[in-house]
Amino acid sequence: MYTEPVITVSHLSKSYEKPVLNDINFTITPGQIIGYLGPNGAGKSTTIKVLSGMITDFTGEVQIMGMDVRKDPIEVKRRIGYIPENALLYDTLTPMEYLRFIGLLHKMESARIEKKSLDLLRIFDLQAKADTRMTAFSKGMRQKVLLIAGLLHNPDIIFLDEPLSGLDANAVILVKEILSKLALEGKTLFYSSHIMDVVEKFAHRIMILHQGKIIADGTFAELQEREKTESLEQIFTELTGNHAHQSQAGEFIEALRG
Amino acid sequence: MSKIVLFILDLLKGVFQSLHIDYSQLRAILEIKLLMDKRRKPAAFANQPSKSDANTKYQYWIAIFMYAILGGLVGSLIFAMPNVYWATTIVFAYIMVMTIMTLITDFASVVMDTTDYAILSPRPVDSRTVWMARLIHVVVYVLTLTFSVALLPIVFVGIKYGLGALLLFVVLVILSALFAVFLTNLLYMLLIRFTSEARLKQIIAYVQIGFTMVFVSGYQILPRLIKVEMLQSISLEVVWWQYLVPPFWMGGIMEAFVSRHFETPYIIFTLLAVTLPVGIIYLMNSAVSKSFSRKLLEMNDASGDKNETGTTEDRSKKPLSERLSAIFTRHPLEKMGFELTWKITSRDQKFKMRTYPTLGVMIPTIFVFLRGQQLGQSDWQYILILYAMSFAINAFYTNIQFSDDYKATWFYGSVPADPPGYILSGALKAVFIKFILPVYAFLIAAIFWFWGVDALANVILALFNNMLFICIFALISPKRFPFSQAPAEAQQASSIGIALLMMMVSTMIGFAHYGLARFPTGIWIAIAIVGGTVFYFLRLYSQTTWSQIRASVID
Repeated sequence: MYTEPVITVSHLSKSYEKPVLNDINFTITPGQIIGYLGPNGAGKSTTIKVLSGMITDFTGEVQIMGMDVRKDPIEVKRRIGYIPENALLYDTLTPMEYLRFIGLLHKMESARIEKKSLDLLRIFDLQAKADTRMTAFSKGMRQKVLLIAGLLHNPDIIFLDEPLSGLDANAVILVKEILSKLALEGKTLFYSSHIMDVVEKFAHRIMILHQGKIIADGTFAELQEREKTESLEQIFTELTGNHAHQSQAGEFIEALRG
Repeated sequence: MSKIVLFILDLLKGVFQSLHIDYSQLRAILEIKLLMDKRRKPAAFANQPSKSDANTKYQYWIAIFMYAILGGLVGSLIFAMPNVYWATTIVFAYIMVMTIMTLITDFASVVMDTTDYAILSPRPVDSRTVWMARLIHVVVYVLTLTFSVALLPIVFVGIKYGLGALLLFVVLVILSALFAVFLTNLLYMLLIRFTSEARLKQIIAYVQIGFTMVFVSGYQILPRLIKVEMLQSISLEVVWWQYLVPPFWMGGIMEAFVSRHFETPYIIFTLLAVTLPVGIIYLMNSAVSKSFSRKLLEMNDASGDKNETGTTEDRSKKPLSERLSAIFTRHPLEKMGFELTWKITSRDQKFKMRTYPTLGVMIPTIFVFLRGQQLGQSDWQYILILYAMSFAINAFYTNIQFSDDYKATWFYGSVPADPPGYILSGALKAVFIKFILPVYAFLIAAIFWFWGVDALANVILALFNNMLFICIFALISPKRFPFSQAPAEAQQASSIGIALLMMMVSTMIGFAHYGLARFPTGIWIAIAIVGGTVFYFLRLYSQTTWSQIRASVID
């Protein structure tokens, strides 16, 4: 098993018209689940796109399993799995067709793709829909297909962007369990989310991104210690600078009356 | 179909590998692209909603069949016209226009699709492979289309001019198709260079609407324009402007081959047809293509990461719809129905796609009647024009019930609307003012031009009659809130019984008007009566109750 850092980021900056990421630094060792938090527009998705080789015009250095993502994005992409937030799929295909396509892009053998896809769909209770076009799929069903598509090639590093959205309670428990087991297997999970209590219980290490900078980095216990607060939600609002919830709520009620 | 393509590709495997393209990935991408094409409808038929999933399997072949039939109709000129030059030129022109139009409308969405980027970019595929897959996909698509259009003309050429001509024709058809691909590509590159993505999408949307209108009206106008004698006596002489129009080059080559003409014009044609495509490829491959793919990537990238700025409305100015609703509606619910209908019909591209082509049906109708007028036929003919419009106009009203975002109308059920009919009558008023009045304004202008001021009373009466007609239609049809139905249900929307009844009613109204037209005072009295009835029916419609709406929701 890999014991060296699997992800090394140093002085990563990226800007479109204005800066999105501003001098990000961290290293991640294998077998960890990283909870990556931040308010909307903080740069979470951009970070994931840089780490997974989808964006290569950034400044700074990013190494994934010893490879430079800028020089070797294809090789990086072979080793990672990405489960995006936008539930984009080729709707007119069936889950089996879609997974076959994804598997072929990863150069898997047809027979193996079919067996794996069927097994995974069955575990997610989608076997009855395996050959139905996804046009009419619910958000939860799409999310399951996306999860399988992201993991089909058994990647070493997995990037997840709100992976639980749309799933029902049973599926949420199942997915969380699967992700924990993947970490025990030595996989690295980079988990971006808004749902605080999931991250709180589940991540080994929490990073909070605010205005393109990492403003907190450590285990939940460490963050509790540092901020002297109980829940991750409190820590989050404390750090991302919104203390005015009380008065905002008051103003809202006032405006409703008007 | 896709099996043949993949088989040919398999043969070329070595070529791709020598170009540093990952063949197994290329094959995988093309395989699903072709599969998805099969499940997609061509744009020309996009305004006909699909009925059920079972049908989509055959849609691809139905479309191909349609193209073949239309191509055969144009191709029949090969028999109808004595010289091969003009006949084949028209066929080539048709093929090129069809190809370019389809590329612009049907394929734009594919080329611009950001889904591709979202799905492929996290996978270990390099951009050269993706680019090649896209190019092959376009060429395969275009060749299928071209050959379905050209199938019958190819046969006709073979029958009339022999096997040699047939083979040359096939080669020229392929050349025409490639030419069209390159031209469209060049067009896209230029557009992308000089405009933003949002603007480009808008341009494409309007081209789509225009295309459907041309498609619908073209097939009615063209056969009426061309007379058989005209076809027989067309000049064989090559005129200078023909050098500027690519189909003439192809036609010229056919002429040279079939009639053994080898004079200068035909040599120029041949040179143009062979050198220009090569020239365009060279142009694309050099400076332009690099900036093009970079721009396309940027576009994809940006749309994935930045939130779109979106279109903003200037709230400091009161929009037209709100100023009009202040005049024409009183009840708040009615205002809501009016403004919602007005705003959404202005902004929903799909609505425009479904509706504006029906205007294309009107144009040839007017055209035909005006030609009749020039021949000095009956004075009252324009009355028939006014009523010939009824059915097309009715489409405005039926189409506002449908929207792709039909699920967004859950709010109708959650608001305490009493009576909910005000929403319906507001929507109907918006249709009257936004669509029917302008159409009549246009007709009035046309009729003034030919028949003078005397026709005014007749036009007003016809306008009121049409409004009455739509009111009756609205009152007897199932009551549906605006934009609350899925487009797929559009076809079952009005039952055949109601449609037949309405056809009878409109014919009767039309004849009554025609009979009345002899008595000028009678017309004015009729205007008063019909106007009053419309007003009353609108009131009646606004009193539609929840139970009436629910009854129609169930059926």
